[in-house]
Amino acid sequence: MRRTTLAAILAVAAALAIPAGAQALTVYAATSLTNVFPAMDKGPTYSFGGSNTLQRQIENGAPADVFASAGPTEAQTLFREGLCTRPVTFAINRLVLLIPNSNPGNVTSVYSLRSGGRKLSIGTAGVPLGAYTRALLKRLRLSSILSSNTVSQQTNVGQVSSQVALGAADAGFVYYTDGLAVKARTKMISLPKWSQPPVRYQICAVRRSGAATGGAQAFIREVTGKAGRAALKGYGFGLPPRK
Amino acid sequence: MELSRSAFLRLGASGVVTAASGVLGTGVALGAPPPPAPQGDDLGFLAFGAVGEGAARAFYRQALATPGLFDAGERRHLTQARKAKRDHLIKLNAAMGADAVGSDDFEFDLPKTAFSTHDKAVAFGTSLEELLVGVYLNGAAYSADEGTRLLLARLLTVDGQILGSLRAMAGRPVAAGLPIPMATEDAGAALDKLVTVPGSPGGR
Repeated sequence: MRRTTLAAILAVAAALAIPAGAQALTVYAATSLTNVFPAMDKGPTYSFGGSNTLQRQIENGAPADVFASAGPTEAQTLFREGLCTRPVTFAINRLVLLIPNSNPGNVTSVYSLRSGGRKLSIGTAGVPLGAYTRALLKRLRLSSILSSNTVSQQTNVGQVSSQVALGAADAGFVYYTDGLAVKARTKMISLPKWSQPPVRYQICAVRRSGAATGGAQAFIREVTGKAGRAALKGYGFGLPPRK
Repeated sequence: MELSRSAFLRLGASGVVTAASGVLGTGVALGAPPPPAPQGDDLGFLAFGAVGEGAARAFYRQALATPGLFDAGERRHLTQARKAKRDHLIKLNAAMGADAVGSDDFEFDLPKTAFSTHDKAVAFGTSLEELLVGVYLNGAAYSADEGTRLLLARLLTVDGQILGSLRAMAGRPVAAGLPIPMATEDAGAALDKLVTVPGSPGGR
């Protein structure tokens, strides 16, 4: 009798801890989503990093269930490789030039960087931030600033915004939402709209043996649904048209 | 034969100048032009062109959709110009390859006042074409790649003709001296006032 009661209690406790059919969910997401995703849903285990790094980890069998990248390239590559479902765009961002409040480099526009001699922080070419930055500089005919200034290359946007916020760089190219996250110590300079590459975040459910497929789909629905869109907007992201 | 100023204007407005230069162009063709293979910052001229041509196309669409602004002859010219803009966009995007400007990357918010009268519409269209002509001229001179220079020069030729038509519509001389090359920095500041990025955060 006591054994039966104990078993029943344990069963109820287990049922309360993990809903029927649910598995722990692991979300791999771009660094620029570090603040908004946990605010949206505290449940999953998150791993934030450069989108290309996370892509490689998934290709190598990392236990991700969801992948959210800061650009379409990484998610679309995984999709083509059969490693994730068809990606959907869920957020939009834009590039800004971030400078420390004290503005030691006397940067007033992106064209200020043409004179050279400043400390500049950018993303490496492999991460979406770095690719977007280089595309923007080509459009502005300012690629030369990458050789006329002292350039520090970072593997994710958080490192770039930290460098600027801490005064280790005179300027850095970051996403608008990352500029908002360090607005107490920095200022954002808008970049010409006509030169902006389209910064679109994409999300997909990872296909692998043992993946929490149901949970992944539910998370994607949450991110692209009303509550997710409200959270993204609250953290400064732009939104794609509702499908 | 000498042409009076008014006769020359009529020629420009009727498209004879355009047609004649087209005939001359085919007569001296040198064979297949080198395909554009933009090097480094050559892309800036092409990207500006793609966004600027998009804005100009939006202008011609709106101008043609606004009743009573233009007479039948002028509408014919505007229709040709609109088609040219579409062709230019295709050529520019083909040259940019992976860096092409997507059809949904930008939207254009043209001022309503630009379409309130014939003269304002012509002046607005002229200002757009002047930006394109200025940047194409700069690119034709300073692009590193030969094929890109040639493409920009070809676009410049057509947009110069469109500009002449617009000037004729305003009763101004078709040719108003030598055009001035324009930096993408300056032309971009003017273009930016008409551009919006759909869904872009922070009200931009």
